[in-house]
Amino acid sequence: MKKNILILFIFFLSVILDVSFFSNFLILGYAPSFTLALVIYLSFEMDFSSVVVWVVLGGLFWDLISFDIFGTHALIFFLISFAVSFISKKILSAPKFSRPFLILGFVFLGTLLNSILLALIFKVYFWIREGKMLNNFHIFEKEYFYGAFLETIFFLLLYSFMRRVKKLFEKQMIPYIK
Amino acid sequence: MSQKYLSSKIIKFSVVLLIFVFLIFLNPKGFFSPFRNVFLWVAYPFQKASYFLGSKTAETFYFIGSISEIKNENQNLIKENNSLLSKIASLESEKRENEKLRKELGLAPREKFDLETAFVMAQNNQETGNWLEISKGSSDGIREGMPVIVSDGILVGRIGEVFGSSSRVNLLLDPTSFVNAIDLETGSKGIVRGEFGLGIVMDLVDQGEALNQGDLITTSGLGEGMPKGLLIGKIQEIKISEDKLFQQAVISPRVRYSRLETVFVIKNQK
Repeated sequence: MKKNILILFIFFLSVILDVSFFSNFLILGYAPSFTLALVIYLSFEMDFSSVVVWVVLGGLFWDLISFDIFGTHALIFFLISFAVSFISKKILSAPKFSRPFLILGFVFLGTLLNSILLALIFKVYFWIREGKMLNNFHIFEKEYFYGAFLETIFFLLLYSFMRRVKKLFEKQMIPYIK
Repeated sequence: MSQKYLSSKIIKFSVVLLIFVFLIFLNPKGFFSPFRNVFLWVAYPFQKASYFLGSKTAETFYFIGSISEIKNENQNLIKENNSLLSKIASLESEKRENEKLRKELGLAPREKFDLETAFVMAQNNQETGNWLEISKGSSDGIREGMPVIVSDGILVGRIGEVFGSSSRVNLLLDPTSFVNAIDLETGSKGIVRGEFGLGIVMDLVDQGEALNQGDLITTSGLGEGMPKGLLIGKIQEIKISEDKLFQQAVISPRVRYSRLETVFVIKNQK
């Protein structure tokens, strides 16, 4: 129970850091997201069924605090977590030494996917709910690559902290696995 | 057996997806506001502290990053200081002229408003979310639709949603924000709104009206609760609307939204 509360608090704190702390470090139009990096890392290192509840909860926290269309981040985190977990399982036969490179690749691609899905949902939402086509708003922009690159560097800086969070998850997950 | 397991997994996945799609596209506007209110109430102290820390840390990084430039800048400043001394005298007369022009153009002085000072606690300046969260809410007399300015009378947005102790400001960049505006130099009128991919746009300007690059755009005073003479920005580019009926001007804002720390909510005009 204590561990569950602690994990919940970590996600709560991570969304606050995203919108109130890291939003001050806007580089090339992109502010790094700790929650997104955490979601990708946990999905890569752990079983999808063990993290899905926390990932969706993290997304819902993001939706509550971000004023974006409610459900957007929860859906995106769910899809990213599923994709990362599914693909990483397929290539887990890779030697141990290449895992750090793999996770960096996943952070890069996951961030790209996050930006594309966010833009796609906004475009469809405005088309369905407001009847606007948003012609100047594109689903894919080259700036997304800068964002993905910055998020990867950000992830590298916080890697050791992420590992600690993962250990916390492993301890918490033991009763479920049994 | 494994096929059965797989199909049950696919069903579960599809059900979750459907729930999310339903949540996103069919939820009534404002349905989640009570939940958001509670969440923001709990998050308030954390957000306030973390935004303060974040902005100060960002400032420090910026300062450290610019140290190498400081030496050069210092030398330049000494030169500039000498030339500025001679300009002070002429600026005094320009100041008087400026005040006169401000009066003539109708730019609103700050003293005219009943202002509520608020600190920025969170923000999202990325393309899909153009909002700020500020530290004042319904308990401070903040209401939906109130204009939000920075110290020089520059409009940054409007209150979009009010909670107990905090509020969301929809920046001018937000596609849901609309403000009646006027070109100060030519008197052309239009509507300023946010547009994804373009930033701030002055739209619905008749083809016969004049718009020039570099013209200043201010609020026209039309529309509920929006005073006249708040500066919006400068015309950066002029275009024709897609239906070829109107002119559009892309406006460059006069403030960097990502650097805002304090804003003022206009509660009333004195």
